[in-house]
Amino acid sequence: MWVRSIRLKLTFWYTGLLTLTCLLLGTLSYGLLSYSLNRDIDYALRGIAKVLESTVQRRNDTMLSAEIDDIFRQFFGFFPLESHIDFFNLSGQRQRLQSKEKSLLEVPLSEAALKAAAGGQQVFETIRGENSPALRVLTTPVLDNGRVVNVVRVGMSLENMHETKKRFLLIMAGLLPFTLLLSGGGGWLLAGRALRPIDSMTRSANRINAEHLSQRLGVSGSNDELDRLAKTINDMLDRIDGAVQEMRRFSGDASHELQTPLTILKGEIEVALLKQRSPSEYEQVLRSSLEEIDRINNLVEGLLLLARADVGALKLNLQPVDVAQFSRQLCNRLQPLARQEEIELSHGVLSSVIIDGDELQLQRMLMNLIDNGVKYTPAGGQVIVSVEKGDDVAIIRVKDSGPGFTAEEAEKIFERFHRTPQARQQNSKGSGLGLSIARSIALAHQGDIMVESTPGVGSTFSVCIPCLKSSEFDS
Amino acid sequence: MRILLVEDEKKVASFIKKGLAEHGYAVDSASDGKTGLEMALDQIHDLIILDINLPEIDGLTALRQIRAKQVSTPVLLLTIRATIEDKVIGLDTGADDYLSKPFSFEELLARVRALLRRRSEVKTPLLTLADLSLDPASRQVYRGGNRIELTSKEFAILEYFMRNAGRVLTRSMIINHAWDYDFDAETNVVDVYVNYLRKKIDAPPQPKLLHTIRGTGYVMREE
Repeated sequence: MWVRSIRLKLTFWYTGLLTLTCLLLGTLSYGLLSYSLNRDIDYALRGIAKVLESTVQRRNDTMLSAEIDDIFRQFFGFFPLESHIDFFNLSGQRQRLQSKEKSLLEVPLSEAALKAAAGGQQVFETIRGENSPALRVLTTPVLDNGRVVNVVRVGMSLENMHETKKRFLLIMAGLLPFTLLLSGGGGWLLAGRALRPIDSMTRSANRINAEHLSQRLGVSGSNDELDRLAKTINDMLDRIDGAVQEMRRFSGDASHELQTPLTILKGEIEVALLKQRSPSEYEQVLRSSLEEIDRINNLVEGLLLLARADVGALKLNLQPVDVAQFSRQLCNRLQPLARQEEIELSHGVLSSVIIDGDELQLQRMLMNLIDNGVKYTPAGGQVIVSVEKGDDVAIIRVKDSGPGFTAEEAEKIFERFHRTPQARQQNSKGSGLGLSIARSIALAHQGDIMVESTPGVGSTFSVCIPCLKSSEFDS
Repeated sequence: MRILLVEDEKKVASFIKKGLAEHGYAVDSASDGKTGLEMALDQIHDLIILDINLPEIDGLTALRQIRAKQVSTPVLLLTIRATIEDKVIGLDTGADDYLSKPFSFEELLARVRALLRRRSEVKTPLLTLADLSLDPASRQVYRGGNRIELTSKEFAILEYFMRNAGRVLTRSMIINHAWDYDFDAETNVVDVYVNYLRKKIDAPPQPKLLHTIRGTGYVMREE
């Protein structure tokens, strides 16, 4: 529907502008025509007056009508039918003219014209009679040796000119609706033609929805405005498609991670309830259920933390924190757990560096890194934590003697729910969120986590977080 | 009835195995696709329960290879992400049924029974021979209107006999269907169990249904 209305609008604009142009052009033509016709009449009157004047001078006498006719034929090749000729003396009295058939003007010589003529000036006047058509008259003095002796008045009816102007107006008025009709139709067709690609674009855009985001608008390759619009929409669709796929993968992974513990909970309990069992069997089921509930809990907490960090709503309780101190505490606390897995967890140099951070979150970050190292390092291996001070940054390193991974893998390990192929096989307990959470916490502290790894030798995770200058700390 | 379970989540595999074993099924389990595929190609199982997300070889690839090797054992697919497309792909790849996690164990049992029934000669849910009847769903056995209590193993062997009524079954066939790999097969264990079973179902003066075929094995039929 909106296409129709744009089409209509375009047509209206087009027709309106064309009408305005036609009217302007018509008015201008009409003005020019009037001007030109008036000038022609004045020119003719002046010519006649000049002839008469010179004849009168030469003959120094009043003339005969036949002679006047001759004179006109001689000069113009015709005698203007509606021209009137009068002679006046200087007091304004009409001289007798021999011509019988020539009608004399009823109108007396005007005072102003007589005065001007007496002063040697030519005067044009337009006289509008009440019944007769308007007249254009020229009053001109007849000079004899520089002295005004007589006055000649030449007049012409303006009826012809008015007729011509009226005809022009009629033609214009007749042509205008025709032009309007033509331009309106043309405008409608043009607008329709111009909008047709938009129509087809709308139809293809309608077919694209969340289920079929892979479809794209057709691009003709002409690189015109609509082509560029289609390309812009396609680029936008690419970005949306990417985001939706990422989101779908994420929610799929999240549901997968949640469904596994739920399957275990449901299945184990149902099987336990199939028949009467010994208390130790029930106890085993309860312990296992608790484990799975913890797993779900950890996962939900992790997802919540990541979701908060994503929208920048991760609340950090910022305080000056000594990195070495909490790293040492955490190492000591996790050592027994690492020992269970036959991993030697120890710390190297722990330089005291103060940073502005949330100790709880920083502990969680380091715990995830250590946990990751312990989990994927084969029994008998070691995990070493160290802290050093770089240029305005605290660097926490977690080095393990695990299987390591390739540079290609290194790019992916921080992705949510990503697990290396070895990780998938060795341990199904990890949620695949630990490293993403660690990185989110580092980012929230304006820091980052880097990783270096050599397959078969081990990996080192380095957390860099800007530290407080000693002056800032003192204040 | 012997079932192959291919599932990498240890706890999931463990409760399925436990529950099925308590219902008289012999269950072998594999924790990755490769091992699962090798075991499936032995063709000694009556049913394969196959998870889709597996290490080494994923479930669908394993299934495709099982079918490519002309193994027609019924396959029940287990998976978490069960969109309609997943189900269609799974069934088109050669699965016989589909169950998405988390599932109710009762439903798993019912689907297992349905798949086993589809394969056996007898299509009705209730297996009968003369006045002996066995209901795999309620796990009840009647002879001439009297309820007979059987242990899981006895039940499994009787079910195998009744599904193959009239067919001579060798001792190793019975072992393959009623015991899993973990059992170190000694053939005389079959004789022991068949004797237990005879005492319970063929107690005189009722006509004998379970017959010994000397040198070969046993057959269950009406004479």
